[in-house]
Amino acid sequence: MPAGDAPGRRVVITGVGPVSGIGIGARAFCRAVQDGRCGIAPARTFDATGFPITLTGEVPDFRPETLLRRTDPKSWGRSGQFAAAAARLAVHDAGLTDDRLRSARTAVVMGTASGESTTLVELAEGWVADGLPATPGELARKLPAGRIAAAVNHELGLRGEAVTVGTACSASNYALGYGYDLVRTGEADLAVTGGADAVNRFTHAGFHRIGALAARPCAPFDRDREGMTAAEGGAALVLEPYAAALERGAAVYAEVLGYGLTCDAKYPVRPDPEGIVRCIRMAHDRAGVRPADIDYVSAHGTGTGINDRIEAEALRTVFGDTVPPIGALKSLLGHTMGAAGAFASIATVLGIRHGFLPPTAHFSRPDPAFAWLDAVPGRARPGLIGVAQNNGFAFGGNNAIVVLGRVER
Amino acid sequence: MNGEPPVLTGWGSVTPAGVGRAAFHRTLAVPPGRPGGTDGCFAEVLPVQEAFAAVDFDGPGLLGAKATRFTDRSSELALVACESAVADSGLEIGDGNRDCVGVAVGTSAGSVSRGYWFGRETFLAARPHMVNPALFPNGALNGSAAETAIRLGARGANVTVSAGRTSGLVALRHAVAALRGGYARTVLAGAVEEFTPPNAWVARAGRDPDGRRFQGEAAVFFVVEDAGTARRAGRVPRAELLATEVACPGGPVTEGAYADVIDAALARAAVSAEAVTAVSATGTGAASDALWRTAARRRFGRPGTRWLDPEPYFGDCFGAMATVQLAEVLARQEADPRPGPAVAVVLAADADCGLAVCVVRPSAPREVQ
Repeated sequence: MPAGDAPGRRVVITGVGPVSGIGIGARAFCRAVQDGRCGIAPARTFDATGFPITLTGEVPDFRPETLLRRTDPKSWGRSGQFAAAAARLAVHDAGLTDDRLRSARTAVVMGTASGESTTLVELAEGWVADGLPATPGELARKLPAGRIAAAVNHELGLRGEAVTVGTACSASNYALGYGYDLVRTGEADLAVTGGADAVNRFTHAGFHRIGALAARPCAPFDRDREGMTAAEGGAALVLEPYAAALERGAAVYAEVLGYGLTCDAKYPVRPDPEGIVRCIRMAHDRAGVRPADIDYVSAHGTGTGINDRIEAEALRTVFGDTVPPIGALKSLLGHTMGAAGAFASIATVLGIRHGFLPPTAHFSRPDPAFAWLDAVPGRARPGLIGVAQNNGFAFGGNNAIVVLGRVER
Repeated sequence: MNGEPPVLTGWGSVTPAGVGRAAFHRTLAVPPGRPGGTDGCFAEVLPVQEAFAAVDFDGPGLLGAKATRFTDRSSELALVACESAVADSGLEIGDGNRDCVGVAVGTSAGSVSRGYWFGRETFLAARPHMVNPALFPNGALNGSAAETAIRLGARGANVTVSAGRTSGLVALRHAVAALRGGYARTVLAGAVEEFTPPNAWVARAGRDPDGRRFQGEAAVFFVVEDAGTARRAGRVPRAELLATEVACPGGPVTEGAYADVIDAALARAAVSAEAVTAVSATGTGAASDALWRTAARRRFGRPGTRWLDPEPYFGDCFGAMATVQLAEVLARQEADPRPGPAVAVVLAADADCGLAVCVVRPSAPREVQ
C-alpha cells in the first residue's frame, strides 16, 4: 500500500454533538456514558405490533425544533434532522460562532447506513395502501440521502463541501477520516463530521429476520450475548488544525492521529478477521503508533455472537497477550448504524478529556472463547487514555478504524 | 503519489443502447431521438410511457444467476458498468494489487426498488419481520459498492457517497482522496441510477411533477489511477483528472458563490478559463439553474466553446447524471479525429447538494475499440 501524501497539519477535535437516547449534548451524554446508562427500550417511533422483539435504541427526547435555529424540521427527513441537530450542538460545544464557521472553509461529512429511511418507510406504506401513483411530492423530495449532509450546511449557513457517506455502519469513521484528511492537507479550515440514522420498521425487520436482534438489551462480548439492538441518533465532531485551536484558545478533546480503511471484499454481511486485522494495522501505521501504545479500544461490538468473536480474534492477532481494555458503546445506545462510529469517537474523546474508560454495559459473564478480554464492565473506569482506537465495521466488509490521542497541555 | 494528476485509464457504462463504451458511442453518433416505450416492462403502473431505461439489460444473464441471487437492479447495473470499465482499462486485479484497488460509488438514495420490495412485506405479512432476508443487506446505501468489491476482489478503500445529481463527481473526488491518502492506487469510481417503478414515481413526484423531462437509467464507471501506477502497468490514460470541487450552499444561492466553485476548480487544475474548450452542464431544470449557468457562461462563453448536454440522448439520470456527462466528454473526444479540447469542464448542479465541477484533460484521440 502506498504511503500517502505528506503528514500535513495536526488535526484536533474541539467540539462534540451527541443526539442520543442516553443524552443530548456533551454534558448529558458524558454523564450517561460514565454511568453506563442504557437507552434501550421498546419501540415507540414505529408500530412494532407483531414483532417478537421490539427493543430499539431510540431518541425519545429528540425535539429538533428545540435544537435547530435555521432549519424547519418539517422540510427534512429524520436522519437529516439528527445530523443538523448534532452539528449545531458540536459547533456550539467547540465555541465556534456561525460567522466564524461561514468565513472559514468549512467542510461537512456525514455518514449514514440507510439514508432517509423513515421517509422511505412512509413512502412505502403509502404505496402499499394506495398504490405507487399516490406518491406525495413532499416525501419524494426528502428521500435523497445527500440531504443529510446538506441539512447541516443549511442549519449552519455553510456553503462549502457537504457530502453524505453511505458506507453503512462504519460510515462515520470514514467521515471522520475524510474530514481529517481535508483539514490535515489544508483543503478545509474546519470540518464537521459525524453520522445519522433513524430507527425504522424496515431496518428493524431486516436485522430481526437474520436473527441478529437481541430480546434483551445488547450485551457485547458477554458469554450469553443474544445480538444487537437497532438504534438511532445523530453525532457530530468538530475538527480543526491544532494551531488554529491553540490560537483561538479552544479546549481540545483529542488529536486525530490517523485512520485505516480496508474492504474485506468477501461477504455481504459477515465480517472477516483478515480484513479487520489489516485495517487495525493500517490505522496504527498511519497514526504512527504501535499496538503497545494503544490504551483503549472502542470496539465495534455489535453484540452478535459471530461479530464479537471475530472482533476479539482480530484484536488478539494484532495485540497478542496484551489486548487493551475495550468498551462497546452499543451496549448503552444500541447500534446507531451510520452514527455509531461518531458516537464511539465522542465517548472516547470524552474519556480522554475527563480521564475515564467508557464501559460495556450488561457484561457479566466472560466468554470462554476470549476469557482474556477486559470489557470495562458496567460503569466507566477511571483511567488515563493516551491513545485509543475506534473500530468501525460494516455490511459489505467496509472497515474503518480511527486512532485518537491525548494532547498534552 | 506525486504531483502528477490522477488519470482515467478506462471507462464503461450501461445505458439503454447496451453495455460499454461502444454502445455509448452509438447513442451519440446519431441525433437524439425519443426514448423507448416502457409498456410491458414492469407489472406496476409507471408515471411515464417512455423513458431512457435500459430495458434490455439482463443482469443475471451478464453476471450469472448465482452472482445475482441477492443483487438489486442498481447493483447489477453498477457491476456490469464496472466490469466494462475494467476491461476497457486493461486493469487486472489479482493478489499482487487487490489491497490497492478501491471502489467509489455515487448513488442518490441506494436502490429505492430494493428498499420498497424488501420493506413492503412488513406491512403485508402477518408477522412483520418475515421479510426476505436475502434482500436485506443491500438496504444500506453501500450495496453496489460492496457487491462490486466482492465480485472483483477489490480490498482497498471502499466508499459510497450520496449527493443528488452531483453524486458521480463526488465519487471521483473521493477516489482521488483515496489515491492521495494512500488508501488505494486504483479506484473504480462511478455512479448508478436505476429506472424502476418506485424510483420512477419518486422522480416524477419529487423532481418533475409536470413531467417535462424524460427519465433515464444509467451506470457509468471510470478506472481512476495515480499516474505512476498506470504508467508502470502500461495502461494508457484516456484523460487526466485535474480537479473536482464541490460546494453546497446552505441557504440563498448567488451567482458569485457558484463562480467561486468554478474558479476553485480551475485554480486546482492550474488551467485558465481560456484553456477550456468544452463544457458539459446539467442541472435541476429549475429557474435557479440560471445562476450557475450565468457564472459558467461568463468564464467559458467564447465562440468555439463546445457546450454539451447528454440529457437529450440519455434522459435525466439523476444520481448517475454527472458521470454520464463525463463519459460524453470522453466519448466526443474519442470519436472526433481532429485535435480535441485542451481541457473540458463538467458542471453538475443539484437542488439540495449544490454544484460540482470537474476539470479533465482528455488524451489525444485514439481509435474507439
